[in-house]
Amino acid sequence: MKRSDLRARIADACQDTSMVFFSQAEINASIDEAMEVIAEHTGAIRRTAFSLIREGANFYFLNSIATDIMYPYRIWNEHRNQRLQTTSIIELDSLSRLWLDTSGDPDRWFPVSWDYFGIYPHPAAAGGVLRIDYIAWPRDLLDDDDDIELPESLSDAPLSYGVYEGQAREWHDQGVAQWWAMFLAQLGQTKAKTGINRVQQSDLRRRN
Amino acid sequence: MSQTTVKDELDEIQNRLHDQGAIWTRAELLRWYNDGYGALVADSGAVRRFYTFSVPPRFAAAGSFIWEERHGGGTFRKFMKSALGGNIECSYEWEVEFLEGATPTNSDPFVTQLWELEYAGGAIDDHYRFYLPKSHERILRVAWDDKRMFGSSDKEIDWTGSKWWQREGEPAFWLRGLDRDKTFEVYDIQTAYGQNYFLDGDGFGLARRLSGTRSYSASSSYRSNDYAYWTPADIGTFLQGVGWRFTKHDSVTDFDCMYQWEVDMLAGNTLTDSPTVFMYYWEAEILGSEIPTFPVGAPRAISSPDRQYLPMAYDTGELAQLGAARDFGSTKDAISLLETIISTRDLEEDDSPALIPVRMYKYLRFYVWALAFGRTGEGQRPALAKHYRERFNQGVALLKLLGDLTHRDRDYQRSDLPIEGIAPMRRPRLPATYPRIEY
Repeated sequence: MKRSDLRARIADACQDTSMVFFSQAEINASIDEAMEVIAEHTGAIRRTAFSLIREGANFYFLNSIATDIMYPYRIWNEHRNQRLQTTSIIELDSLSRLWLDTSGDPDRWFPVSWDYFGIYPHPAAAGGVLRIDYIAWPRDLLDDDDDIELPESLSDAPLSYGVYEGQAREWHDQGVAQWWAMFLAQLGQTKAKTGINRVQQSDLRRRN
Repeated sequence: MSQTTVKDELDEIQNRLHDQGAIWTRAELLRWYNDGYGALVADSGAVRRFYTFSVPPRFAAAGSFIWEERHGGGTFRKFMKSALGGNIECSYEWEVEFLEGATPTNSDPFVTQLWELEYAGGAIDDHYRFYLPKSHERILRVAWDDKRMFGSSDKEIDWTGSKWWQREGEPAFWLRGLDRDKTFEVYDIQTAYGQNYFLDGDGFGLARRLSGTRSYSASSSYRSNDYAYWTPADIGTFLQGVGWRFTKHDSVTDFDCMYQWEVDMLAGNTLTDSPTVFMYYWEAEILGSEIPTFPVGAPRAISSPDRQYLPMAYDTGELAQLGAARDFGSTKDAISLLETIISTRDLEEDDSPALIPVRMYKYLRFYVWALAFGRTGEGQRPALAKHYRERFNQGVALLKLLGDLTHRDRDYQRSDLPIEGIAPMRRPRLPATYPRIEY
């Protein structure tokens, strides 16, 4: 659904078709925010980035990989055709007291902070690429013809969020509660349709 | 999404409140915004940074009485010990014995600053205590020379029956400490003075050059200066862009010299051979020799095949992530800490809450709206306050989740704890009748 269509439907539902109380810019911002909240709850937006393996580097900052990265869910060493296993600092400490000094082809990755992660071991020389599949924040819609990044059947969720925002601007307690509840219900549906329900039913049958 | 400032966020908050400061003042909203920022960062524990300490521990000021801290500024160590019900402050044990009428005995050395251990000629009767930075929230890992140290407690170690805080050796244990908050202790202790990086002339802005036992070289993609100049007086309104000063100032004679031999001559010394002086990078084509790079500006990145130089942003000011390196640390022969942090100071309107993802700024708005709608008086909306509080809490939960970046990729399974190798080392406990052992 295009932004202009979604905006018109939100204005209709708020009984503010002229967009006097809930301006066009404010509705546009609420659509962008709705997509953020949906992405945060469902992890529905997935993208891929490449990052050069740097000499001596154990730690990689997310903002040096991609501007829209929320968190990686798969890291692949292109050079070795190998998925990096997840580990943790405490596990590495029990593996080797000198793990930070160990060099070699990276085969594990571990969390440190929300904005950077580590790999083990660190490469002694630069070269090779990490393929990083990640859950992304959505991009802001650029213009009225821009489409939201969701299946067409799920456009009700940002619609509900937009109306919820309109109710919040009016300090309408009951309206806020009602539309927020509706949005949460649609969020569950969105999570299912962009996740497990994307897989064909036949693949999930009980094995005899 | 571009980075917005607190000002933009407060405008949006006021817009929702339909108030331009009559009911909720701008200053009040800013305070709540800062409260929300602190709560989000602290409660999630998702902002983690490395921090290094050279040994022995350093602190900004030391005093005899605790009230002196008010005037010390920065980290403060009370180096004397109270006696006679707090009426007297003593340096040595024998002072107490003397004051109480007992026969004085020899006492351990005493120091004001712990780096004096280098010169104390032996262990002192005080704890080896490190002072945590202002941004510190929680310790996650302590290491010596990159090797993890084991967490312990004074009660556990006291069973060894010795003055463990005096034992010299490789630091292996850390403990919360017996003294003031925001400190921790380590043992065994290192008494030799260590300093990995020293900021020479730190009153003169940013670091321009690195030197030491390691080899450093600079490279710059910007290799061409716009003009060359002799003295600062040459820089006028007609000269624009990047300038390169090709002279050296001799402070004794107040002359500006091109060559080293000129400086030598002015000082009456033997003339030394001086390298060719260049004004522009393109002169290399004429001279047929390579001209050293003209590094322009401050260092933006440091790399090495042997180790990683990791930028760590602790502050949260305007475009904090784009700044320059203000301090340097190393884990080599030093104590390093992985810690959760909070912002070191309150945000101003021109700042950005740079310690959290840009997309999560909205949760700070929710926090402010929760407090605004919850405040007694005009504009109170308890239901909205409760709703926004719940939404803020969702933000805390989300940021906590993001703190574990591998959560989606990790397959959890039950494991036996404690993990082998990280538990405190067991020590033998001898019967009370056993002769005392001094290390």
